[in-house]
Amino acid sequence: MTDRNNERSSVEVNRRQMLAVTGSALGAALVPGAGALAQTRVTVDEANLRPRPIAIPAFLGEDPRLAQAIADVVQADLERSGLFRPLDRGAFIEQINDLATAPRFADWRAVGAEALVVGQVTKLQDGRFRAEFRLWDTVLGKSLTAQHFATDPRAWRRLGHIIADQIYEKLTLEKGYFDTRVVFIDETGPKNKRLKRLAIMDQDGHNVRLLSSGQELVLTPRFNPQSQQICYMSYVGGNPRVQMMDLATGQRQVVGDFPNMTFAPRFAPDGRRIVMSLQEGGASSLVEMDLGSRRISQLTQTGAIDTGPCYAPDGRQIVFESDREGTQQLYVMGANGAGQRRISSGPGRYSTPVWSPRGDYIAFTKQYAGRFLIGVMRPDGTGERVLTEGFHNEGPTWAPNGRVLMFFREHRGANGGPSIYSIDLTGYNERRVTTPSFASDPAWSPLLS
Amino acid sequence: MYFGLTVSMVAHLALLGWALMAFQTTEPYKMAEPEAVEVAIISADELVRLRQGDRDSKKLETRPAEKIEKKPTEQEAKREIVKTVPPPAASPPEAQDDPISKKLAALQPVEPKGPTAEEIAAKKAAEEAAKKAADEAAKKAAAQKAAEELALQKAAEEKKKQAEAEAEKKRKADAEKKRKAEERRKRVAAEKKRRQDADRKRKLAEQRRRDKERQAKSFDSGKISALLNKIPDAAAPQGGNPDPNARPDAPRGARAGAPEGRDTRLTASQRSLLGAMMKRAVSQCWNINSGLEGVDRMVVELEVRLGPDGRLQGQPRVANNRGGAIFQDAVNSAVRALIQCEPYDLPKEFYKGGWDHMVVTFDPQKMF
Repeated sequence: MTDRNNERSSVEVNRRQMLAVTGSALGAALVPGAGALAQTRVTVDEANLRPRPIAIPAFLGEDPRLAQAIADVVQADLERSGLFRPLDRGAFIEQINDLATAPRFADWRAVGAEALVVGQVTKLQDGRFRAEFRLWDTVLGKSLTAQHFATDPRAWRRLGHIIADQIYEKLTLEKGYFDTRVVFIDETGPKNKRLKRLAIMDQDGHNVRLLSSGQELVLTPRFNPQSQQICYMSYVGGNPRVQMMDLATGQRQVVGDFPNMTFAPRFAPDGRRIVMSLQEGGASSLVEMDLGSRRISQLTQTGAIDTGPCYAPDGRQIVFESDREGTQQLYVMGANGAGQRRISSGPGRYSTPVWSPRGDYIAFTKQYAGRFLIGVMRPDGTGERVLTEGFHNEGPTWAPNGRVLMFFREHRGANGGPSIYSIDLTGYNERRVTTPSFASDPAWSPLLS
Repeated sequence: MYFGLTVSMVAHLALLGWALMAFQTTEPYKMAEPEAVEVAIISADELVRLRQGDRDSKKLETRPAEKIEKKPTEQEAKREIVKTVPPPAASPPEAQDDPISKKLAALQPVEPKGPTAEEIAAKKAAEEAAKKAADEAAKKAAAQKAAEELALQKAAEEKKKQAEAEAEKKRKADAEKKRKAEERRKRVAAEKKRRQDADRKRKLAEQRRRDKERQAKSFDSGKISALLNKIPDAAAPQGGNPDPNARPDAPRGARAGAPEGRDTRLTASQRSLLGAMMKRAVSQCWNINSGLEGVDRMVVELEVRLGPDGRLQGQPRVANNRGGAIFQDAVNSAVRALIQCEPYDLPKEFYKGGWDHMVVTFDPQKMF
């Protein structure tokens, strides 16, 4: 009897064990990664955030100087972004001789490169030249992209910017901003008799061209997001007026026929409308003009000074500054002027609001405690943070990818003057943009290509 | 006739009278009184319950029989007292001959025999003078004695001090010698213990290894399905013989369902230590596109296999594939970090079942 009981219990145990084993096996088979639950698990929640090391050897080509110059433009663009750290070419182990052959990844990893750009420039029969490049991920050991472009030899710098944009986009998953231009006010002469002229340059400060002679005062130039067209305020016959200029043709025209002064213009995202301030006695209101029909809509009329309007990237809202409550503050309203509400709430005075092309932030100038700050806040007024501060910072403008800003900084002293600076949205990587003379009031263009 | 009758009557009467008297004086019959017995009335169901046993009944604790203390008798008590009485102290030393006492004794006056008044007066004066002299002598003697005692005491103290100093010196020397001997002994013992421990550990490790080998030989995890499957499967391995085609280095353990599953080989703290070491190593190489919108939510889980040399074995496998360009970029960042930081310098003893196969989660959420 006892033996039988023992036998039965042992049978039960075996069945139970077998059921358990079967259950485990089924579970492991049905649940993906279930087997991994019993393994050592590691959670990495800290990163070593740093610019990515990238190797950009001189491009190959019949004209080594041109090939190297293009590679230099690419390298300088990536370096200025603050997201990449180009490596010293002298340290490279492998000599690139051929774009078709895969590089020795171990050699590039050995010098610390995470990415490698190889390129080649060849002359075409029609006088143009062709540039091609290939981007490698040296750590993963794979090609990320390979492209080629043909252009006029005079546009070699732009070609470098275009290649840099492609690399930037591939490695950051965001649109680049190197093939862009900046209009600004070029300032020359003594402080009390400063000559202010409209000028344009590449985003890296090269290729500066003057767009006005300096006979008339020009202020607040703004780019049309859809074309190579700018609007600005100019004293035409001693009367301030908003004007437009086609950069390709140099043709100018006055925007609207207003009895009073118009200023602080800004294109709508679709490029078909302009919103601006219209002086009315001691106050100013905001008006919108349809460039096609020339129809004018009054957006605000509060008896206060409403100015500095800027559209949201979807064109549905407008942010502007107003002193209707005593001091300059930021307000947001619908594109038709409805639903005006204040968004700035901190101490100090807020001005020159600019909506980011990504739509996530509004940049502004803030005057507080005798200093001028450049900051950003969410469109609802939350998340305000200061990117930079100083004696006199003003006039932020966004790069088309919404990640970098430019602004100008006035330096003290009799010989002091304004200079243009760029800064990352995070507040890091502040760089001065080299210009031939003093420069103020920058406005960033959309991507040219 | 009348005589006979009379005699008969008298005889009968006498008999009756005797009988009567005898009856009255007979010792009464005494029955032994029975002892009282406690009786309890038990009902029928109680009886049944008693016979069956009650599960709810209180468990009676068995108490040890009380130990009866035997009281000692008076004699024994006395003996005990005698035993406990401490032995008498050694008798004090006999008083030694005191020179001063002798002197005093010599000064004792001789008993006079029938003295006169003058003699008495003279005697008194003499006695007084003698007494005075004796007192002075006694005082002198006492002073001398005190001085001698003091000198003796001093000498004794001096001697004692010297003896103590010497004893102390000797004691210290002994202690030092003893300490050194003890240290030497301890050192030898520690060394011996260390050797023994190492030997024991080596033997234990060897024993474990043998056990594991035996287990591995006796149980093939790959044949569980064959054991469970009652229907013969041509593809399933048959019998207990090891599969000749099976790779000796093929991954086994928890994933394969082996009872010696490697997950049981490391303790939680050892795994935690491994995790911390791996995290520290990989963090150095992990870089992300921090400005990218939504990158903070891109948690990537990679299944990683490392070789004993600390290098990746094959491409890490994504365990939580979500798809999308941003996720793929996060995966690339994670894989790049793993590749860039190899080889990993992790404890060799934790390789099997520890860091040979891990799940590494890259979670950027804390950084934003």
